[in-house]
Amino acid sequence: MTEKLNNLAIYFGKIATLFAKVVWWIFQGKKRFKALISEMMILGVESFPIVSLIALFTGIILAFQTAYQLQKISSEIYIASIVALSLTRELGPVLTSLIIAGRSGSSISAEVSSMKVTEQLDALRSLATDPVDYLAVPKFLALIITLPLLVLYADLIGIIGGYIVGVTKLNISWGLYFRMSIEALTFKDIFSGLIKAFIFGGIIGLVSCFEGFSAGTGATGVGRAVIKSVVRSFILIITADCLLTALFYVLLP
Amino acid sequence: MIEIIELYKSFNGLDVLKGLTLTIEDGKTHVIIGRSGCGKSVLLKHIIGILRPDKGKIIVNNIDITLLPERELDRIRLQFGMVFQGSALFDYLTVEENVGFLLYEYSNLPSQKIKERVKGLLSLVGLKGVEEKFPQELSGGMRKRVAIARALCLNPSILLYDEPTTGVDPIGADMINSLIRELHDKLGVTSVVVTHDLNSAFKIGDYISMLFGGKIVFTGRPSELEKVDDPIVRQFIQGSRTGPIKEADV
Repeated sequence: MTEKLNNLAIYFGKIATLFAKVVWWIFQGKKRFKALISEMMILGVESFPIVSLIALFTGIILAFQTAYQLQKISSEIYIASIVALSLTRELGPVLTSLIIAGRSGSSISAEVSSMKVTEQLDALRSLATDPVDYLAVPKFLALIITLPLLVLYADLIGIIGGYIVGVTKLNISWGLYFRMSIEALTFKDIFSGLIKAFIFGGIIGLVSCFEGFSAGTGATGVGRAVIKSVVRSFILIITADCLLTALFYVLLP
Repeated sequence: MIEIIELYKSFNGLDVLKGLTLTIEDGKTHVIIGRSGCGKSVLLKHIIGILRPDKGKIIVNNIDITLLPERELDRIRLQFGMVFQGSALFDYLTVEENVGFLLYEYSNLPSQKIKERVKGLLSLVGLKGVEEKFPQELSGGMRKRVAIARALCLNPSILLYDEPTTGVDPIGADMINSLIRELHDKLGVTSVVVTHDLNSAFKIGDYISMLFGGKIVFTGRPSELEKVDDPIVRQFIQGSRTGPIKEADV
C-alpha cells in the first residue's frame, strides 16, 4: 500500500515536472503557429462528428429519462431546464473530454511513443530541439484551446437533442422549450463547464505526452503507452471533475 | 578532441559502461566495434549528451559536457551531427524538411536558400530528385544517406554514426562506407562510427577500438587489430563461437 502511494506521488511529480517544462517552453520556446493550427485541426476540429453524435444522443436520452420521472408529477415542462443545466455544468465537459481522451489522447501517445521507439525523439535532441518544446507544447495548447470550444458545441447539440424530444414527443411548444432552456442557464453554469474543459484538456495533453515520452521498447511499448494514456486520463478527468464540482459548489453557490 | 574518462552507466541495475576511457583525436575516423548490446550506442548517446552518465567525464573541445545544463548542451550539440541506426528520419516530414530541419526551425534564411542548401547536401551524399518524397518511400540505403545529409546540415565538426551499414545490402553498405570516407577526406571532420561490421571498420577506420564488458579492451590502427594477440579481440574479429567470449557476454 505504501509502495503504491509512493508510486502515485512519483507519477504526479513527473506529470507536474512535465507541466512546468511545457509552461516554460510556451513562453521561452519558438512560436510554432503552423504546428499549433495543424494540431488543433487533428485533435479538435476532426473530433466534431463524433462529439456531435454523442452529444445529440446524450441530449435525447437525458430528455427521455427526465421525462420518465417528471411525468409522475406532471412537470415535463422542466425537462428543458434540467437538460440544459446537466449538459452545460456536467455532461458536456465530462463526456466531451472522455471522447477526446479516447480519440485524440490515444493518438498523441501512439505518435510520441512510436517516435521514441524509432529514435526520432533522440534525433530531435541531437538536433538541439527539446521534444517537449517541439511536440508537447503544440499538442497541449491545441487541447486547452479546442476542448472548451468543443464543449460549447456539445452543449448546444445536446440541448437540441433534448429539444427534439421535448417538442416532438412531449408536445412542449418550441418557444417555451427555448425560453425554459435559456432562463435556466446562468453565466456561471457555462463558465464552470468551460473551466472544467480547459483543465481536462490540459490533463489529456500532459498525460498522453508523458506516456508517449516514457514508452517502453517495440510495438508492445507503443500499445502499453496508449492504454496507460487513455486509462490514466479517464481517472484523472473524473477525479478532477469531482474536485472541481465540489469547488464550484462552494465558490459559486 | 573528445576525451571520455572513467564513464559508468547502468540501466535498471544492469551495468552497461564500467569505467570506459577513450580518446578520439581530431580529424580522424574512430570506429568502435563490439558485440550487439555491449553499449556502443549508449556510448555514442553519451558523447552527444542525449544520455547522462552515472559517473565519469566527457570532455569535448576542453568542455566537460556532463556538467552542462540542457540549454548549453544544445549549443555544443550543434557542433555534432548524428546518424542513427534506423536513420530516425521524421516520418511526417519530407526529405527536404528533414535535411533542412535545423534551418527551417532556427534560421531566418528564406525558403529558397534552404532548398538550395538541402539540394547541395543531398547531392553531396549522392541523392537527386528525392526532396519531395517521404522517408517511408525510400530504400534503407537512401534513408541512411538522407540521415547523413541531415547530420551535415550545419557543417558539424564531429559526426557520429550508429551502425551506418546495418540493414543495408552489401553493395549499399560499401557505398555508405565510401561516402563516410569521402566526407571525412573532403570535410576533415572527426567521425566516431559504432558498428559490429568488421568489413566496414577496416575500410573506414583510422583507429579501431573494441568495447567489451563495459570497457575499451583494445585501441589501435586497423593494421594493429589484424595482428593483435588478445584472445577476446581475436575471437571477435574471427567471428568464432568458441573462445573466452561466451554467448551471454557482451
